[in-house]
Amino acid sequence: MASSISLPALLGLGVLLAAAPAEGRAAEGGGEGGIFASRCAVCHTIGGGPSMGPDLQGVTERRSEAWLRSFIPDPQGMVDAGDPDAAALVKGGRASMPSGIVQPAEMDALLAELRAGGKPAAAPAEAPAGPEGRAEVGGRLFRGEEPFANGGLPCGACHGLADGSSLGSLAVDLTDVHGRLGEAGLRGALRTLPFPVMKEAYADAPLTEQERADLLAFFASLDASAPGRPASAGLLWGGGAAVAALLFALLGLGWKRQRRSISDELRSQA
Amino acid sequence: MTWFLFAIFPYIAVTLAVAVGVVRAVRRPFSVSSLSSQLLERRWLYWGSQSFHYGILLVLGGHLLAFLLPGTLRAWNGSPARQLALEITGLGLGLYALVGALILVLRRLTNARIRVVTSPMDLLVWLALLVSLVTGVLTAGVHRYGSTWFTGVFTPYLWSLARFAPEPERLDGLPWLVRLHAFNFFVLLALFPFSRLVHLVTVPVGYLVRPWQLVVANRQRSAGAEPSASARN
Amino acid sequence: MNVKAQVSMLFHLDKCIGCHTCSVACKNLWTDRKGAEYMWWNNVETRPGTGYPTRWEDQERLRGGWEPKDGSLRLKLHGRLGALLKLFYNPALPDIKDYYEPFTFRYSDLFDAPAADDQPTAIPVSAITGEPIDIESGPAWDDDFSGSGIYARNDPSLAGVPEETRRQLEELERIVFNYLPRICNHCLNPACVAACPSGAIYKREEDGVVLVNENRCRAWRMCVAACPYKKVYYNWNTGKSEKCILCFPRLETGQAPACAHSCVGRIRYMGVLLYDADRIPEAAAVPDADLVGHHREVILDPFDPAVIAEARASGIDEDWIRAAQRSPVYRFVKEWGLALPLHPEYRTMAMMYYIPPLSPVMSVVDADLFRLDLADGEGAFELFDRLDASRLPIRYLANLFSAGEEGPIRAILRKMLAVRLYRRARTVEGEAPADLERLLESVGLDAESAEAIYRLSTLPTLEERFVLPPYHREVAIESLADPLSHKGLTGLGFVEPPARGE
Repeated sequence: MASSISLPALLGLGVLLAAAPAEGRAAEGGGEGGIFASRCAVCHTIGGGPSMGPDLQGVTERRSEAWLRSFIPDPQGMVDAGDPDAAALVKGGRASMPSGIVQPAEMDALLAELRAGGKPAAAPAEAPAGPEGRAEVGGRLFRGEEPFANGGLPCGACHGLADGSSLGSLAVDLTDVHGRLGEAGLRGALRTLPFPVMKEAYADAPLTEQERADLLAFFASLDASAPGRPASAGLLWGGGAAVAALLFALLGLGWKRQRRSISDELRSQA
Repeated sequence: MTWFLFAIFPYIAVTLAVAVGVVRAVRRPFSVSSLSSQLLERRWLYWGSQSFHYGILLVLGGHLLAFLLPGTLRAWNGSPARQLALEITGLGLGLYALVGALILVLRRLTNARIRVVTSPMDLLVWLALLVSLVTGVLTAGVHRYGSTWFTGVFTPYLWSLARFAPEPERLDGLPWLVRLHAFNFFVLLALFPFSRLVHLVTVPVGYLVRPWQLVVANRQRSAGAEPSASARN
Repeated sequence: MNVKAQVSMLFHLDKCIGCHTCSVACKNLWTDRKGAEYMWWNNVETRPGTGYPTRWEDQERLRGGWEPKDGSLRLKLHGRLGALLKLFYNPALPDIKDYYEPFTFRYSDLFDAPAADDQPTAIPVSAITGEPIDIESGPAWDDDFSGSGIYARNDPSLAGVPEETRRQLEELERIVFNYLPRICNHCLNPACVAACPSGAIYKREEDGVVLVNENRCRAWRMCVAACPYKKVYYNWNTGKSEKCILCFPRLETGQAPACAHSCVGRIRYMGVLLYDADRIPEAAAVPDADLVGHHREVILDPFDPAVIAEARASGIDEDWIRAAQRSPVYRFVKEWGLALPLHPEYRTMAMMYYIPPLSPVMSVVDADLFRLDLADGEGAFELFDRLDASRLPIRYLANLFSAGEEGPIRAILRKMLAVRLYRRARTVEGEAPADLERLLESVGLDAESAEAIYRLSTLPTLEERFVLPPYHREVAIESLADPLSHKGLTGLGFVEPPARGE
């Protein structure tokens, strides 16, 4: 039997994990408020200053249309292709903007929206009258105290809030998400959840209309200027360390008899 | 790449673990042993082995729980206080195991008697275990709250593997730390049949029910009779 | 009745001279291997002493054997669940230092040293690491007390011996020791078997030899701790437990085990005992005071027609029954009641038997001279009526061989002394006086049995000492397998040399 198939090479693959690009999936329809509001406004503003991504005010003047048409659907592809402008936009050769959010076929509509300052090309009808949002219920849904009807993960599993009521940190803090995306943007984002992990996690467990409304109301009720996050992550680390220390202390109870072997004791008499 | 790491390699690892493990157990049972080194060194082992084994077994049990009973876990985590308590316990056990592992690695590297019984494979196993423990502990602390999001991310992913319809794209966009932690699990699985890790599946639970005394006959009583292992007491 | 056969060994301690020939024979045959250097499946201890591994009788610490609880027995080491919880660290396991760190000498230095003013020396190196070490202990390290009182003082079996007697043991003029050769006891109720979580240790049905199936051993090392005699050893190289196999390959080919065969003092006897397996649980659970009697009760009379019928019914061969009838062990243990198991209070029903040693009476100081503590004019200086003045305290022997009960020890020593007095009279005076016949009767012997004891103790032939049953290899399971399937084996059943782990 082969005694040792050497696997350090496979281990080394681990460091490549980060570079794996997101697999594109056809994005859902534009949704209310247009493509920008529903998919881009999560990270970008138009004239609102830089958010997670840069402000896209006047981006159609700064960049050529051809460039935008290839960059937006597949930023990493442009970087890999050695485009100097794309490379300048990203840090460390890795695009943080996922590929496949907007399909090439949708670019006409998106470019029109961008030129119009984020307004949908065809002015949408009044936002459809949805169910009334209840901020309190939204908060419980967020923290997982009340499960989503379709079994989706509670938001707080990954997202934190500045007031410390949620410490999730796999994904971004959502305290000022309402201010950042705006009502329409947030509504769109809740509807499509166009982020790699969320897209998959909620594919089989979509939020209901009522839940979306509740969450929207909850986000709107959050005060982004609330005092900063208390040292609650410290509670987790400190508590963990305390648990480990306690367990070692329990081990210590049996140590007295183990400290010295029988022969040690015998020799100490000599 | 994602497909290789999280859809193809897992199957390679499981196949290796099962096939090579069975061949080894049948063809070379003598080589299957936990290879205890307590006789040679006791004092470091006392602190390292118990904390490492108990810590990692309980943490592994937690992962298994999230895989098999995600609903139960989700219900428990419905209250932020309960969720925090679970996370603190899990992180504590992870730290317990990590410190134990560090003690054991240090012992293996510094104690002359233990170095004699250390093979290159032992060191490789330790490297993989340390990667698992460090990335796991950091994930628990930095990418909160694993106990909940595991049920929405890894549970469906693992079940997709079990259904032979892998959905590795579920892991896209996860922080590299989490992806490394997940991939490293399959590395450990692949190492399992070639290393001392095989002792994992020889945990003698049968001892809980077997008769105290074992008597084995070296002769056939009558033609065709099988050698018998009978019991007394 | 469930009759089974046991190949048993008997040690006549009165004849042991402590030469360690048995240990060396065993070492050369079985444990001269990497990982087994420190093992002595057979060892000879100086008693009083701490033995090997040191203080192996300290069961409070080492947790060997069984203890009675509510009328039944439980392992002192662990319960079933406790065993699984202690897999990762076994708190009762001795340290390698409690045996000794095995060593050798760098003999090449004697040849390779550059020319210099001094003679080169071969420095000691550890057999584990190969690095130079200071030897702190070794096999039979406390042999003949090793010039120190520490070992004798720390003998756990001195418990209950009066302080004054203990002090006398340390005075040069009153010093006394005997030798205790030990191998695996191949117990009827083995604690190692019961403690093995993997079920790798078993008792062989035909001859009662307790063996480790190394293909099933997973190095949980519970057997090492559970054996109260510390006669299961952990091979640190292969990661498997090993123990005395009673030289079964030799037994199966009609030879006595190497230790017995090589014994210079001819102290060892081998024979078959028939026992009743159904009685074991009850006999092992009685109070300490009744242990010796119940232990003997389990051994059956091979001449009893009912026993013979049952033996046949349970598949024991005619020639094994005949061997049991001629067994010297049976005669010493059961017929004459001269031999006892070592530490019956461990309740493993040890199947190796010991005839306790005689010793002279204590000395007294008389006009600055030491002389035996005898009244003036007392010719027969044996201590027939003065056992309490014997140099080896009766209590000590009782702690070793009869669970602290002095009665069985006194009875045995008196029998031996009666035989000695009787035989001396026969040899010196040609005829034994009538009062010696009465003396024999008083200890439960007669002239005929005294002669037989004398004959078997002092003048036995090889065939009388080792009454080995034929093993009928032709019906063993191996012989029914394809003989070619074992072709090319390197011994011990391995097709390839055993490798450590992977």
